Amino acid sequence: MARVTLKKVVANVLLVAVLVVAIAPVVWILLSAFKSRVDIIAYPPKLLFTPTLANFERVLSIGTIVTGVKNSLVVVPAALLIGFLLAVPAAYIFARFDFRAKNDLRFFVLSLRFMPPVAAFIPFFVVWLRFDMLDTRVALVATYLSITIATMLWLSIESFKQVPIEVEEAASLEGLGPLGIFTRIALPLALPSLVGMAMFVFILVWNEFFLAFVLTARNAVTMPVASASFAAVGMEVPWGQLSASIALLLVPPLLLSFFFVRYLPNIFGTR
Amino acid sequence: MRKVLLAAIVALTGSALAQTVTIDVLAQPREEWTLMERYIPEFEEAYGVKVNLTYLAENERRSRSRLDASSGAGQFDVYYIDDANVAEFGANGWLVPLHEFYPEEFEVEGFSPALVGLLSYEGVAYGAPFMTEGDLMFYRKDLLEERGLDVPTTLDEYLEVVKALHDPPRQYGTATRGLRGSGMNVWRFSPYLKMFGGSFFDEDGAPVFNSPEAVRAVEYYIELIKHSPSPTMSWSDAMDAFAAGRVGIVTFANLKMDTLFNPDSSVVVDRMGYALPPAGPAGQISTLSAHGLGLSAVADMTPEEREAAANFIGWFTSQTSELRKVEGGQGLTNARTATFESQAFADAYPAEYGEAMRGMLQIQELTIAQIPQWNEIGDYLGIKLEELFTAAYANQPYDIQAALDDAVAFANRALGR
Amino acid sequence: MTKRQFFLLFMVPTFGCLFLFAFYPLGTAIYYSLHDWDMRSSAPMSFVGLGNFVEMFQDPRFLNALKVSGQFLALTVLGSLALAFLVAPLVHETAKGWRRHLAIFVFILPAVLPRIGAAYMWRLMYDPSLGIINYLLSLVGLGPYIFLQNPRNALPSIAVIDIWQWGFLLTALVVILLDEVPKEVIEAARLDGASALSLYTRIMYPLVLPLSLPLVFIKMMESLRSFDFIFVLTAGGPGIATETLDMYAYWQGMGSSGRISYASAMSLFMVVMSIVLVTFLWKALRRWHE
Repeated sequence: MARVTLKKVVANVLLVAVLVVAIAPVVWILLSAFKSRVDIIAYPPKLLFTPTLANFERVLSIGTIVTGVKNSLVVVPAALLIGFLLAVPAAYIFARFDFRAKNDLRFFVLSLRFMPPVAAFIPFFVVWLRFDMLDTRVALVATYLSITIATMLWLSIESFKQVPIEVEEAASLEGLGPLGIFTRIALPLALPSLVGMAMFVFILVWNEFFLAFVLTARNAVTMPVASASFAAVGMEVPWGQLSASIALLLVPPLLLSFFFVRYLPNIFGTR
Repeated sequence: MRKVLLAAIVALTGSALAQTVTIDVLAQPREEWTLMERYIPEFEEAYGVKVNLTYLAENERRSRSRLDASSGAGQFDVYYIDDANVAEFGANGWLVPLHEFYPEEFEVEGFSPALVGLLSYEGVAYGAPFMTEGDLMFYRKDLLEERGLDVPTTLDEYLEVVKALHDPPRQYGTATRGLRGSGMNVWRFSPYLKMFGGSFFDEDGAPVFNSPEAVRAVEYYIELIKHSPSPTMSWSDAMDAFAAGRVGIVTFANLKMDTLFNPDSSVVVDRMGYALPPAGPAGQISTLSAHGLGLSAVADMTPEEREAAANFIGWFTSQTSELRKVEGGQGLTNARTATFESQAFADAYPAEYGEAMRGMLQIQELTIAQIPQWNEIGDYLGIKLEELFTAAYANQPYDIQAALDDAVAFANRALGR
Repeated sequence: MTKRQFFLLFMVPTFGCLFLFAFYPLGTAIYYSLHDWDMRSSAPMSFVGLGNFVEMFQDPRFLNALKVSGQFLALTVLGSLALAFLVAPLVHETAKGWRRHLAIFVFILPAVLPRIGAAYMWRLMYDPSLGIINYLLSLVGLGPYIFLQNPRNALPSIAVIDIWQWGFLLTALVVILLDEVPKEVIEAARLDGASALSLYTRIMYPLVLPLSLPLVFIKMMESLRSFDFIFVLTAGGPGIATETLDMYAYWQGMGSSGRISYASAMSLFMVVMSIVLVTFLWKALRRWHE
């Protein structure tokens, strides 16, 4: 009996240790966001300090950051929405229809999704350069569409496969055409897990750095790029303000993850 | 209803009349720019211009401005240029010559002629300078006195003092740049190369920075690196370390004085001594640098925009602006002869410092090569140097001759030899 | 609406877009890789055929980048998997109910951080003088260590961050998958006297493996997108110790070199590589999945 309890204690301690390791860096940077510079570079590192909002004030007064926030709030939802409209019905088709090119097209979508952005950045850069559309939000949304459509297509197929086929067959017997079955049966039933997937993709695109970095300079910078412009290698790094801008960057994904934790199982097709 | 319509018409006409011209400026984040930002609204009102500032760190700034000009995108009307990339811009015709656009009211003759010359390519001036810098030795008076050390005058003596003051992790002997970059570690290394008798290129333009003298210079520099807090410091890391009181003696840009002398950012305000950089076997040399603003020849500007951009450049580099910088604690980042000779300038800094600076002006020379390929060659050399520094710092094996040979081979390829 | 109309209505625009996004950039990349466009001069570019590719395979820096990318891939994928499969059982056994939900939530947090956010965090933590890691190590008499400025430690140090970010997400996912194993199977094994260790290795993991293969897949592809990270942490340094393929291609194309054509050739190489990888994994996946 005593041995079992000891094992339990050890296991619990280990678990807590693991959780701490997982979350400590996040907590540390959130703390730093409220520290004055003196406190941040203090050695030994301080856990107790007088908090200040100065970093946030300064960060929000910087043009680039404000622009970054505005642009992210426009570009990401736009890319998501358009992607959703284009990808979801197509995913349904992959789940329910059978056609010759199916496997090949599915593979094509997969390889698009998994193309490292570095492979694509030069062509995109040159294309937008030619059309005189570098550093525009439209160009960025269009570029992000390549990510959102492919990813959402691939992830949604599973969601539609989870909808019981019998319900659809019953509806078909009732006289509903394919459009009706899709809009009135399949979509509503798959919606919860589609929403979860959309949140996942939102976080993906919200955090996207490389393409935005290459394709924007001033007008269309997104939040991640604006934060990075703060502290490129070789500059005096304003740790306090940097932490504050990261804290701000964290807000939407953090809020969303409260919700999408519930959908994790759905996304990976086990429920 | 009529009232609403009237109000709308007035608003529309009002906004049409108040049409302002917008210009885009590419700059680097520096203290004096932060200071000048406070006065920009005044400029905007006076000239009816809206100024959009974009800040990029040095390496990024250089590559973005090049990208903007060479690709023809021409997003920026005003470029921040420095002595290291003016050659590239001049050679490709990406800038409008200074004397063709600089507005009379701001007096182009007031600039220090040496600096205008520095921002020229093949005899044509392109940049309006707003800053110049050279090297000075800053040392901790208190620490030297404590140990009864004399102020070093040669490189050997300097290294002795560095070692004597080295007591990690609380105190480091020195703090020198190790981070890669033609404007970063290579820049800091360049005077040492000359002081040991080496040079980057010979009279025929062939790269010779793998000579025995160069190897000795790198060996010396590595000793400095080993006594620094980290092998990959940037210029601001080095400045921060000294300002935080953790470093004994340094040789770096005289401009850092503005930060070191400011009680808000430095704890060593009252404990500093100033001297000329120590001399090497081949002489006593300080770097010479200038940064300025140039007018883009690539951007598609309307005559109003061009005038606005020219006015901005003029205003930013005017005598008034320079005096404001002196009063605002950034007096060293200036370029006009009158400013340096003014009473306000003399009053802003300790006499000792002023004396050291006057001595510095006598030993300044251009230590890099003003050729279009400099940035590329320098960046590659910077990477090889960074490899050496980090290996030495971690007590791993390294080969100076091999690294320099590699860099010289790269330079030859870049020059098409 | 007929099935056929439905099909065309929803497939054509979507795949029209996708083909556009895939083939136009690919086409232009191929075009540029066969020329010698250099951003540093205004001279027009000329055709050089396979010249860029020949140069690429003889370029020591390119070969180094290949090596670094490969090492990074191996370290992060294996590291994340190891973390996931070691920690998941711990959570599965020890945390039930709300505690398990809390654990899963905590494990997701690192992954929702933007890459660069995580990178800056760890950069501060790794700092030789200001960083908290060295401080903590000093409390037990170790260190101080140099992480990002040491040529040998730099890549593993960066890999640790990646593992921290994605390994915990994988852990959460494995925990969820473990949850799905039917209770009867576990009961039967326990009745048979299986120890905890063999329960996991012989029963649970084999059941869970097929479903977790997509995760391995995703992780591999994520590791190839390391640019954001490395750019912020070391910009490929010290020297070129952490310069991956994407980093090198970026420097060539956008950095001081401005050699767009050369960078295009490298990008094409990466495209081919990822297609090969994807094909290989796709075939392997199908064996397990269907």
